[in-house]
Amino acid sequence: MQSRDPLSRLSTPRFWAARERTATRSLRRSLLANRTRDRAAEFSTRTAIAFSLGRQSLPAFVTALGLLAVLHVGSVILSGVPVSAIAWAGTEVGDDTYRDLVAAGIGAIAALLGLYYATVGVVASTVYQTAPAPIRTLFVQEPSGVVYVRGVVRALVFGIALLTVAAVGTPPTPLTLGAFALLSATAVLRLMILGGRIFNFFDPTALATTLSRRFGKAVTSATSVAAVRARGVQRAAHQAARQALDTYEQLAILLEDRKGRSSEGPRRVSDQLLRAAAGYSVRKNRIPTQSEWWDTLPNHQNWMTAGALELEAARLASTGMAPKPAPNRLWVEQAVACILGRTLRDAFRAGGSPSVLTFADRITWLTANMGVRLQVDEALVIEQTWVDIVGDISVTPVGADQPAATDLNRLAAAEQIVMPLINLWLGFVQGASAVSTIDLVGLVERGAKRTEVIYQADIPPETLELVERFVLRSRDELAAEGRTITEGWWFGHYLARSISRHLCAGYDSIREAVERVADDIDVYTEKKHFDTAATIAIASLELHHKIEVHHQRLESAFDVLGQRRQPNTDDKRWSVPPDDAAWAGELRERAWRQLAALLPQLRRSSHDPSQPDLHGQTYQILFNAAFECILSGSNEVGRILFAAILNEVDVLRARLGVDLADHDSMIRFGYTLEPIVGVMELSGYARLMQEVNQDGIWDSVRDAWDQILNANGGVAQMLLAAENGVSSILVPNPGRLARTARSQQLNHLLRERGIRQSRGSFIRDRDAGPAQNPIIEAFGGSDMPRFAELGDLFIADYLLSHLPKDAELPVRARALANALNPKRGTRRRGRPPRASPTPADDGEADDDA
Amino acid sequence: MMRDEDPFDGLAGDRNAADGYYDQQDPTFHQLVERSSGPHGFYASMLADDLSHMVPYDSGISRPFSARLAPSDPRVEQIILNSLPGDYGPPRTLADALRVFTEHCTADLLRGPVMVEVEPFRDPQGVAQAFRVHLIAVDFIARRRGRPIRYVPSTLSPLVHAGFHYVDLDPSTLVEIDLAPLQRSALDRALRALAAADRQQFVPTSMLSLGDTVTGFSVKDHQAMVSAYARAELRQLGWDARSLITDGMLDPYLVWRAIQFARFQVAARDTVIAGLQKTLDIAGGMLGFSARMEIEGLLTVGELNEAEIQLKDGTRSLSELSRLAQMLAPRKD
Repeated sequence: MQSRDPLSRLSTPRFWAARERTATRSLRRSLLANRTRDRAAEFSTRTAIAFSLGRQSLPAFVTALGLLAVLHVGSVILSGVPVSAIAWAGTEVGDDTYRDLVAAGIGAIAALLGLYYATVGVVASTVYQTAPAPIRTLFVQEPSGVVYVRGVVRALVFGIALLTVAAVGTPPTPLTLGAFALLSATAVLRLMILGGRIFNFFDPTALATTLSRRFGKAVTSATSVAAVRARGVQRAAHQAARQALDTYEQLAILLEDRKGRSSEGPRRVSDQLLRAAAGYSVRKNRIPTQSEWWDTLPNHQNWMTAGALELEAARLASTGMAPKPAPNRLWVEQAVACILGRTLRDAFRAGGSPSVLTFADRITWLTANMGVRLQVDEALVIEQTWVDIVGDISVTPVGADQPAATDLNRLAAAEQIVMPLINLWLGFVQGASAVSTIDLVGLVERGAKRTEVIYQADIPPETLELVERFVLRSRDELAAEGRTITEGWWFGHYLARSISRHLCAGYDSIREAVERVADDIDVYTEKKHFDTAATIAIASLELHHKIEVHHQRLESAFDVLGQRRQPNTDDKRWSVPPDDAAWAGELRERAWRQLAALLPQLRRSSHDPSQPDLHGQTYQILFNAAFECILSGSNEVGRILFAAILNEVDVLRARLGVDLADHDSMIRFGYTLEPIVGVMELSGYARLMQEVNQDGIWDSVRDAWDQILNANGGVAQMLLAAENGVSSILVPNPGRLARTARSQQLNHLLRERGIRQSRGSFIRDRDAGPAQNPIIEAFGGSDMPRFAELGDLFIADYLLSHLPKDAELPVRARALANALNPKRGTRRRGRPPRASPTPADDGEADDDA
Repeated sequence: MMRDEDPFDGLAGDRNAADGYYDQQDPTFHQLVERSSGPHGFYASMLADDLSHMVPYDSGISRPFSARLAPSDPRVEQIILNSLPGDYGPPRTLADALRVFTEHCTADLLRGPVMVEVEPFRDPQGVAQAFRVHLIAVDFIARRRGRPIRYVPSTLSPLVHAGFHYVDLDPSTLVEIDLAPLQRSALDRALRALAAADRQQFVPTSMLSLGDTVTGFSVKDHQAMVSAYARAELRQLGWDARSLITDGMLDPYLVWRAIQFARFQVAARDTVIAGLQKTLDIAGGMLGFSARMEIEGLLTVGELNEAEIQLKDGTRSLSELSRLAQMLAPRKD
């Protein structure tokens, strides 16, 4: 009975030993096959180089042959000439003269070989004196040099053999002599081409091209069909890639230590690394999740959840449980980021800031592409390195010996800090939309028939791991039952859940990174790097905007995934997708507050065209932000922004006076009025929205104006003059277009609220009863201008009381004042009504008047 | 607390009063008893336990069902209840009796066909007033000259056959309960696989205790190999061997296997109930009653077919289907 037990072999140590031997043999075969493939590929590469050298030397060779042919024909012709002296030149030489020819050839070739190695020796003893072994190996194994040396040695050996054979009584034939001549000529001609390249060896980064190729080849190998099953291929690919990255790092260290450094070398290495990372990103999702390509991290066992057998084994051996290796799927990105941290910094220190900034586009492109493939963690590894480097650049003081452009690039660098993050977000949204529509169930079904198929799907590793497991289990079911039992609806649920979780995790990581940017702004502000802080804050506004605009697409992707959710799985662990981008709006408001705090620090007495106008830009941003806050009812932020803008009016007017000193006085006048007119307009909006929302910032605005007007009575007249000024056709009105746009926005809002209707229709709902508020009544009326100037409201409702009786109001302000209170006319004095006036308040004000 | 009155007081059965007891000094019979004491082996014992739950409790968390006699006669019902095995004394209800009878049958069914003997109990006038049902495991049954015999302790009979003492059995008092050939073959195959799995139970421990002298051993791989083998061999039975084979199985597959095992249980249950009905028919002939068991609410093949379709389509939750297969889900009326 025991002999029929199919499991009895499992009880014998011999079975397990044999099984291990089989596995080891399989691994060895796999490694051997891989090495054979590598050698074949190397042979192919070298053949290509030899062919290339031959092709490049072909013109010279043909020329030499042509010359030989011409000379031969000339010899024949000359031999027929009756003049003996000329005919001698065409006669054949004696039989034994070939010895001199071969000896001379050998001597020349030996000299060339000696010269080549002398050159290599010079380079090795200078440039590579302190280089680590892998880099020296790289230098010595430079493919062109290897091919050249082999060619020369071949010719040399051939020549020596020729002489040796002749010495023992077998004279060379014309054919062997011709072959020797050909080999010698080839060696000489190759030197002609290689000679120029030898000088490249003085630049170690020239050798990095080989590393890039090696890494690319390793990645290709790791993602090949052969690598799906062959552990040897996976391991060899990992070792090759690791070696290439290690050598890159040593090269980066070598470049750091070099005297008289230039930015070119580090820039070139960085360029290669970014290309390598980009290529890797494209193929990464094709690597099996349990592949030996991945680096490993220790994963320690939880003793409270360990299996009985594991505990028993630990007890028997009186040992602990060894940590199980877990794959580190970020090892390449971490290595690349580490090297980039050296090379890009090195490039900047070497005065290469402008060239470093050209990498911004590549980093941005890389993170976008990683985002498309949902490789958020990978992208953030690169992004964090970029942020660190560019952050350092942007706060590094510009030395006296550095060009002026360096300072410019300092701020340009700060602008680039958030670009990778923006593009990561955009790529992520695109990737989420794409991945949510993949036929994952079909993938499992196809994978059960042919495993390789699942690695073409470009899905996140967690989902790929699940697909791998489902494929295995489907096969188990097939083996046990003769058919697969688990149906697609169940696979679909868990695969969609896996993707949904991956998207949630990616989203959370991006959100953390975005919040980190906001924190960074505070850090730069605290360290008094105001320009850098402002530049990042301004750039981050685009990030917040992009998040809000594209959030809907992400939500749609989650909805599509949610449709695959199957309640009958009894699974309650479906991750909760993000429902809105309110947090991005909060971060935008935080950025506005940060900019408001920075605004006084950004002041300049005049604009320098060689520098970004951070002061002006921040003012414009905050002005529009204040308008948005007033309209949307974000009162807390609105108060802060209005105060910051009001605080800048005089500073800006003074600066504009200097900036436009060379311009016509009317133009200068028009521009210097803008800050005043703008702040009055904002005040008018604050007044109106206070009535519309029954809440707002008007109290703060009025108090600020009260303080100013009480301190200087002439300000009221000046404000009126400014408003009159922009109303005049003689004075340029540069802000009019923007004011019209804001007015349009207001109209839209009033229409949405049912306060203002299209011209010609009744202004509000008749059921609402008689109007309670003259301001709302006035702005909702169809007799109001299509685009009201809110500065008029400020004058008519507030400033009027601070003006002398005979003050000349602008026409529309006067009309508005009459509309607000027909009884009191335009000469009403006294304190203006408080916010949200009641009819009783109005009555009292009339009595006071 | 008063003791229940013995319903067999004043009545005499056909069997020797000492039947059921044996002298352990009788080595051959002791060997027989040991062999028949139930399925041997770790997993086979668990299988007997799981398989025996083919009729649920008629209350509690189990799916309720009802069993009654037609025509209804409380006296006959009490006689029947007195005749059948119970957990602690005679069963109280017919449903309870049904459950215990099927449970007792199961362990013996694993070893082969079960013989049920009806023993009439007569009053001093020789009129049968009661009966008792005896389950005889396959190890104690043999045929001699075409007639059934039962092995007994040497003290009960001088007759010997194949080295065992025996008594003759009256074929008219016997009912044979056996699984259908396909079920029997599935069960035998499963028992062979479980015995092989049993032998592998302590292999990891012994391998690990050998330390470095064993190379290449992996607990995980060992478990996977045993599981894969057992999973395939237990396919027709559907039993999950209480986690022996479940590692790595996907949830729908687990439920599917549970449904297959429930199919096996339902078929075995129906066979046993049919055997019990035959037993009651024989007893009715002896005592002069006619009683047909009417059972409602037990899991049916139709429900299992429907459950399989629902599993395939994903139209019913896995937990509900799992409860159904374990006969815990409420009936769908």
